[in-house]
Amino acid sequence: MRFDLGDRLTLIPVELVHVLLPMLIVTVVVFFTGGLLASAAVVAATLAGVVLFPILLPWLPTRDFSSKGFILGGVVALPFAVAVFLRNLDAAWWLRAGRALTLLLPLPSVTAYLALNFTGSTTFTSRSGVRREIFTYIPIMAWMLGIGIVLTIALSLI
Amino acid sequence: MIRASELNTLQYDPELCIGCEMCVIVCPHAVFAMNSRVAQLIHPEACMECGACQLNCPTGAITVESGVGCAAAMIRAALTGQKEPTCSFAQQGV
Repeated sequence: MRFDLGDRLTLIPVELVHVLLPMLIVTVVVFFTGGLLASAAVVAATLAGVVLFPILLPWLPTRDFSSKGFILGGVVALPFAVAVFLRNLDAAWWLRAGRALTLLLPLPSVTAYLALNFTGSTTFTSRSGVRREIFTYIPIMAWMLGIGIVLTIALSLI
Repeated sequence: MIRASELNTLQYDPELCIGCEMCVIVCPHAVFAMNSRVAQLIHPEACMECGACQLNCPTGAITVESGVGCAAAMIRAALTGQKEPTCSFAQQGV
């Protein structure tokens, strides 16, 4: 049973169609609440999950799809977080760090969730394995996303 | 290779095997091989729980909890209490 790069590339448009509308809605909402950089980061994290992840699957470290997604999402979100941290250098460091965390916490969980869903497209993952990943990683994704959203709201009030 | 591919619910009872070789033919991951008269599990860790072997075994020697393995569908089923979607025609009553 093969599942080479060509097979994985074929699946990318299918994955894209599924996330396109939710991604557009979230991007527009984030654009009006967090600005251009944050909305670009949302697009990058989503595309990392549905385009980069299938391409890089065999080369990403760790064994679980979710942890592979967390790593990829973290790498993709990091430049955006650094850019946010280095913006407005007159502001307090903790405020800039907090704003960076509003990207670094939720975005990798978005990529990881999309990566976890790619198990449904592969030719070798089992239902039991996916179930175990769901119970292990979905709570972490939910907490990271939730804390990120709460932090975003809290910092917008300062 | 990946943990999600190494966990499975595949159960095989060689006592019930009649040596028809259907499991060897239909398995996409060569989990089964013939050992003279009966089938034997040679790569159980490669099972992706597609359910083809169970569906094609005439004596019920093989059981596996098959499913599509789609995380979103499994989460939706868990949250709504509905049955998970499946590719198995037998389970769909077709």
